[in-house]
Amino acid sequence: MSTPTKPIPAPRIKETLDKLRSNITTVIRGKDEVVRQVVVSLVAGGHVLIEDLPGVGKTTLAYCLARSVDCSFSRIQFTSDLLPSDVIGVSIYDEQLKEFIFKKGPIFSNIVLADEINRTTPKTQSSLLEVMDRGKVSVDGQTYAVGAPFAVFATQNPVDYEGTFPLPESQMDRFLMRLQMGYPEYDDELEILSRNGSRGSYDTIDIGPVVTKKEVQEIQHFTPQVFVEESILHYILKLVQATRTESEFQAGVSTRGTLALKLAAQASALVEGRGFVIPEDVSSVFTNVFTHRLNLRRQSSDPLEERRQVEGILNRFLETIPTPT
Amino acid sequence: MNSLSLTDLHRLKWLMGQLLVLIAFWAMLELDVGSQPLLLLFGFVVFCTVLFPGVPSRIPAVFWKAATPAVITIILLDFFIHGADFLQPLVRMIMLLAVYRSMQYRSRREDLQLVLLSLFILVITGVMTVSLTFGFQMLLFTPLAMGMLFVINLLEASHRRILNRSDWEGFRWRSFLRRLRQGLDLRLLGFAGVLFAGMVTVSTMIFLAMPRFSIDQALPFLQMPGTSTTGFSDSIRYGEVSSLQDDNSIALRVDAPEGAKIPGDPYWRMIVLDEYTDQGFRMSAELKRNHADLGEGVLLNARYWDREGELEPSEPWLFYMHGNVSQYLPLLGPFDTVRFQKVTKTRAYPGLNLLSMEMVSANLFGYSVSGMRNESRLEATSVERMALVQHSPIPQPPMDYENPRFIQYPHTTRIVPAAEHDREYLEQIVEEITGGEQLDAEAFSLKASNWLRQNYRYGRNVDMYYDPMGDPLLLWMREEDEGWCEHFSGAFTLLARTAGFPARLISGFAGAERNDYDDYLVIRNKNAHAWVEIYDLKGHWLRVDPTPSAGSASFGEMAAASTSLVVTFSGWSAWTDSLRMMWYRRVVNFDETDQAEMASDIRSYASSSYEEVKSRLKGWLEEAKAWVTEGWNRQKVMTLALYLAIVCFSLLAVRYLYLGLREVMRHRGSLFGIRAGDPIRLKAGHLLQRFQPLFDHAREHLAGQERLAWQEARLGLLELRFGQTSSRAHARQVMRQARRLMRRYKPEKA
Repeated sequence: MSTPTKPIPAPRIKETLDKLRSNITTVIRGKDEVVRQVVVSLVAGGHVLIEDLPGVGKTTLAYCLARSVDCSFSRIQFTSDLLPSDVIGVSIYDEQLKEFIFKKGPIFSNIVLADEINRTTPKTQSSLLEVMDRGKVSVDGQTYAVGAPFAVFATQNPVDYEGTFPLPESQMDRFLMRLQMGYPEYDDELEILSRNGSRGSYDTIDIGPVVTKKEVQEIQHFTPQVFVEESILHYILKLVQATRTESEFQAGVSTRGTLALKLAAQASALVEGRGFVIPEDVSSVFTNVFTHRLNLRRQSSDPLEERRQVEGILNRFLETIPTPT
Repeated sequence: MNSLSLTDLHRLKWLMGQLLVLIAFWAMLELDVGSQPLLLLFGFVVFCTVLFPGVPSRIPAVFWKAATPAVITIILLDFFIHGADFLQPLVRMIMLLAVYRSMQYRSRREDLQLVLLSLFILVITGVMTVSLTFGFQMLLFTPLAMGMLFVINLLEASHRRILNRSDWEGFRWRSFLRRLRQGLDLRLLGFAGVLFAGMVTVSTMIFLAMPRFSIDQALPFLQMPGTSTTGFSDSIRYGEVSSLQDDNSIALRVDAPEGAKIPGDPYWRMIVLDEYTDQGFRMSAELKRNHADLGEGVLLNARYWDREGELEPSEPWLFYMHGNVSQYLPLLGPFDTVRFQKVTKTRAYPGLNLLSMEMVSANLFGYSVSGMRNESRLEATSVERMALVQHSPIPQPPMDYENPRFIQYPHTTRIVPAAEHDREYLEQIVEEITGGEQLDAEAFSLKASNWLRQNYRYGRNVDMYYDPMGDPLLLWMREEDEGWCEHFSGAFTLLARTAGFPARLISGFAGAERNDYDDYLVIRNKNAHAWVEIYDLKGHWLRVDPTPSAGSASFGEMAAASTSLVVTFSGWSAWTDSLRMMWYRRVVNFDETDQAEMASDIRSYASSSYEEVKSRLKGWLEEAKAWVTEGWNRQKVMTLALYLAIVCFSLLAVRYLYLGLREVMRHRGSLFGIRAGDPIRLKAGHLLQRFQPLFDHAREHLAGQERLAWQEARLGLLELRFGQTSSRAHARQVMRQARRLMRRYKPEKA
């Protein structure tokens, strides 16, 4: 079939990633599924859009991930007057060297938390386009590589829409997944309360690295090599085609979306310690990979409601389209 | 719950299966093999499951554990005990299997078994009964079975499962049917119906145009044992013919040739009863023994009976006689040839123009008669002319067992009662009829019939009693004033003999119904009749029917002679009967010889080609032997090596081609429309489907090492199904391990 490659050390990868997950879950209580999806996204080398109310742990999640992986972490608070140079960096004239030198912006980090990304202008938003796609930044004809691994965690507030610039579809497409945190369960919140009542900022979170940057890069290297059997490819395509023929959607999922689904499924297989994709891998990431790529034809005024509807339709696809047996 | 759910489809599938079984049972009901009560019981049980589909779920599981060996034991025992008549245990077996399958909720395999079983039942019974109902049942069965297979297919693709008790909770037929109706697109259904009707029409036309074998004759075990239920035997005890007259079922259908004059008063002669005894009339043993020609074949030619045949062969009359009616074949009168559908053992009475089979046929029996004439005067044979010149009656001789002395046939038509006072009584009546005059046969017949009709009327209310001392017929003449054909004919015969005219009683059918839709005659059992042939002393037997018609209840009415005996058979039943006739004309046709020829052709071809192959092989063997034993030289060795090389090379080439094709198929997924199924993937996929539900259960209920084993097995299966082909070294072990786990796992216990 494909060119013979080095066998994927799936059990070792699982061990590493399990360590990572358990490390994060010591802080993020009761959100195992979200943590799993975040790890999947990391393994796939994708970016994540977290859409939820303020204060449910979006930032903490991104921070914990960054800390657990021994990565640099930076946070950009997007506001309406933020400029692209505030994100990417700026070339300034160095008096002593008599030349322009590039001052790297906060984007030069491994994990970037783009907080409230829809609060800033489209101009600034689009400055993220290139870096999210290629992991590189071009300024004044110079190309600079950002950190590796590189992952953007953008957050959005779905309720407060006053004075926002909704992300254009092209930009949405560049996120591998859209996740939502949701409120914690009663018991989990109780534990949060009793354990860490005095916590002021996330800097005080006691969490250490369990995975090295190099390991993450190695895992990310393996992800596209995860074997996908032909029936799984057909299954993916059937799911994609269903979104394209569904009359309630404005437009179906792009080919980039199709590739994203495959990649996410491969990552999910690695997270489960498998060197091959099974149908459950596809279905486990399907909704998160596709919700933000689809818009309803009859748009609802309430974005939460709209998201629920889209998810409903996608879940229906999962039920009706036969899984390969 | 207003729309059709998947469970509904499963229900529908199951119910359709039940209906198929019911149709099959209905077909089997017509098969007369003596298991009717059992069949009715089983049919009722299955019908109950249709009405209350939740019932099978209430049967405890332990029952099914015991049922399988029990069913097998019952079947084996049945075959062991009743193995001699193969058919009955066979029928009981398929019946039992069908009920067994229909009392449970079925998997796909079991569904298919049920469909096949029902089809088998239907086809077998159809072949054996050859009735029109079979066609109707097949028409019902086919779309139902097709629909069921369609639903099975639909469900198996994605939602394979077996119904269980909870599926039938709250089941209502009404709402189920309503959902079904809403789920169906009536236009599509109508379209499908039109297509089906078209297909049926075309296949019917092909079917009608095609000659065929009669399968039931080809397979000996399909031939049903005959049980004569009705009948004309060669003796008449009073009341036998009359009891038939209550039976409205059809005994005979007759296809008259085109242009043939159908007589207004057809008398279908079957038996001549010449001998008078005090128990009634019968065919004398001597007549049966000495005047019958035994024969076997498909053709019986009356020319051998010293009779002139027709110069131009005319179109034949076709007779279709139902099974078990009689061994005697109804005929109108003298004929030239009779042709049977198959080789038949016959007993012909040339002098009497009678024909009988050696055995009564259990199935529909067809024969064709050409050159048949319907005459009320039959020519007497030379023997009869010679013997019957004496004009005196013969008193019945006393039974003498020590020294049996038989009166030979033509003379038996002159026998009158033995008792002196009986004869005097008869002479007295003759005197009254003739008034002392010397009449000829025709005048006497008329006067005697009139006398009978004036003194007796037609009625069926007479008690059947026998006088142990005297003669029942004379007792009737003295005591009663109403009777039926046997009485009238018997009395007339005795009177005629007393008056000096030899006479014989004939039994058979009188009259017919002409089908309104298709030109043929229908003769029912109620047409059974007895009449008289009186010898006019000049070489002719004259037909006389002294019985007044049933309608003329009053004395002295001359009904029978004036009105036609052929009535019209019309209405719905006539129409369906005409369809049945069409069926008979096609199925029970007369092309046995062609088919036999074809069969023998095939056989000779097969044997000759076998011989040829054998001789050719032998020749080759000889050649090879010679080749090996003759001298070897360099050139021969070289040639041999060359051939070997060519063979090896082509084998390699084929293998290479095969491998290449396989690789291409694996790449493309399919080639020339053939889906390339990787066998191991397929196998693992099937196994995984059965494994998954158990795994889900086990994951919740097991812990530790056991659970780990399950997880490992599942991962192994998943890898075989979805993983790379390089990971297949342990495919067999993985599957075996998974199967072992599944076998040992008992969800109830855990």
